[in-house]
Amino acid sequence: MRFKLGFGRKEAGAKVKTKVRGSYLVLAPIINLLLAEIAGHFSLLAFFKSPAIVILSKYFAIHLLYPVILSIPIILLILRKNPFSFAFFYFLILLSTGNLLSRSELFYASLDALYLKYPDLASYLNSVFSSAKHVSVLGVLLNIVWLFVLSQLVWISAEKGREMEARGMSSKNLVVFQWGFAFVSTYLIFLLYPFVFTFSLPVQAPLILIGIIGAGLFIAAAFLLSR
Amino acid sequence: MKIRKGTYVLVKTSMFLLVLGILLTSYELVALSVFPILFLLAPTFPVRVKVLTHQLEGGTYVGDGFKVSISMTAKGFGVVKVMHKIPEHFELSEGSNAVARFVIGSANLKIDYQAIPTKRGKYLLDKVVVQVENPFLTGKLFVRELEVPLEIEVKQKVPKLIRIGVHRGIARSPTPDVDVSKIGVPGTDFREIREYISGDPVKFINWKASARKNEVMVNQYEVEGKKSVWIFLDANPYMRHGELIRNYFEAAVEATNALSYYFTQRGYRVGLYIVGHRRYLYPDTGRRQFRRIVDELIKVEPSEAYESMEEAFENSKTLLVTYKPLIYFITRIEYSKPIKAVLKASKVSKRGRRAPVEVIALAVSGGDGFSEKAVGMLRTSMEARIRSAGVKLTLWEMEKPLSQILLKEVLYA
Repeated sequence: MRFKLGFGRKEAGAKVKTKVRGSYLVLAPIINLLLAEIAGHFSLLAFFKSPAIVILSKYFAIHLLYPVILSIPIILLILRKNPFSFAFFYFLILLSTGNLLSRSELFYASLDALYLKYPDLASYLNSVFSSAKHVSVLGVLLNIVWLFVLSQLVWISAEKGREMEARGMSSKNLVVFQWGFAFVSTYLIFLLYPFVFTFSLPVQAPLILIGIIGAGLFIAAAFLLSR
Repeated sequence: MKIRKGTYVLVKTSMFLLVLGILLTSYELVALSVFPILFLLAPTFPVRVKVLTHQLEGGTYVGDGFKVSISMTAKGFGVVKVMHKIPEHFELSEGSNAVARFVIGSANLKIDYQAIPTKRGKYLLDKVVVQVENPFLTGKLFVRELEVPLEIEVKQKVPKLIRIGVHRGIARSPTPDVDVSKIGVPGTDFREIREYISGDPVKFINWKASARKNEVMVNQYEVEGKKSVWIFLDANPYMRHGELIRNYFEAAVEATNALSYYFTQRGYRVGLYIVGHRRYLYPDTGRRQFRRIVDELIKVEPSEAYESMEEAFENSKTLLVTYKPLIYFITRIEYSKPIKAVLKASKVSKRGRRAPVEVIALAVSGGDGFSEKAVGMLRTSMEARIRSAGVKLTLWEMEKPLSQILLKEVLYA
């Protein structure tokens, strides 16, 4: 076993220590499963609040959606995959977008187009969705995104830890520390995030100034990311 | 540039939210797309790693384990990976040559491992690679090297040869035990009368012959001492074939080591010519000469350029004529085709006496493939030609111990 950069080669006859010590390899999928389940719960909460439920409940047994969605991470875990996979995250976000449609210009534009051929249906959809314009799902979506980012950081550090141990590198408590740091930092950002995006200046600044500040921030972000 | 997995995941998440947000003209989704990107802005803080102590024990010979212990201290913040670079043909037997730690403030790092060198050579173990990255495993990876003054000289274990076979055939006796040397201390056996040369001892002047010839004549005696041995070690590129640890060249070096040890221990002059590198060592006796040969063999690797055996013979002809040694060719005969060189070498002696020449042909047993069979046929053909020229040839299948092969030659002679 060896570290990637190393040149050491394990003796052919020696006992190869492929037994990876880290308990994090068991913990990582369990943590991700929990995070996925919580995210799934939040997503379903948003879904049940959305106006789409009014239409869908007429045709489908919506209450069955709960166990179905919550069982997906368990199935992924049984299949030895990341319980909070990208596909599951996409699905949860799409499930939560019902409320976003009620404020989407694109959605209303498509209703206008629909109105030309099916005026009754378009009017019905408009009446259903326009009633939910005031509902905000930013909090729920933020929860889902936070949980997903945390799960990805947990998963990547566990994978890296396994890779290092498989190569014979001694990495005492490294992964656990990384998890701790990931949790603390993501949680802090999660707490501060709503304040940053609801922040408003007490003084009215001219639009040109805001534009210049925005362009400056964009260039600064591009510079930082290119490092 | 390779994108790190952490970076890729965060960018992908952000892009998905941004694109969906733009499609749905949703402020919430666009705002959330910034969330994953924030983690990419986390910088990699500098971490200072300093070597405190270092120690290396053992590992003088191939196969002998050695122990390395390096203590370091790290100050800063981030994930630090430290690795002591070891050569490719060193096998880790215990511990690890790399450690990783999450450093907050300061931490002690210790590399403790045991390894086994599998190839001879002089190795510098003076590099410790330090990698520093941020705790999210995103962003830039800082890599640098620290110097540690550690080095190791790994010698090949010399196989003890009990006895080397006596040549039977046209060449009567190549073994130097029974031969006389061209240079050395004059003995009591009379050889000839010749003209006086400045420096000749006065006691050797033959007064009667001088009076008769009217010029100073001296008696020439056969010199006592051991005859020289000259080894042609083939280091041409084709010797590289085989495994990294055990290949034709390593076997040839082992044979050279063994023969040098055997003959220098018995007081013979041993010289060496490395074919391919065009390098040679003058024949000399004793432990010091063996040490010189070993030093040369530790460094040598198969050459990139080709040199034929004939060229090698021509390059060392002057020395061969002077010392009239027992000549060993250690080579792969199917590639080097040393027949011409062998015949020329056997004619080094004057007065019609054939110089003792011996070829140690390296081979690998087994192999049913077409190429193995073809190489085997070539070798058999060359073997027959060399033997028919009256030159002793020892076929050494590298899997077998050399001492056993050479002893077998004695027993069956």
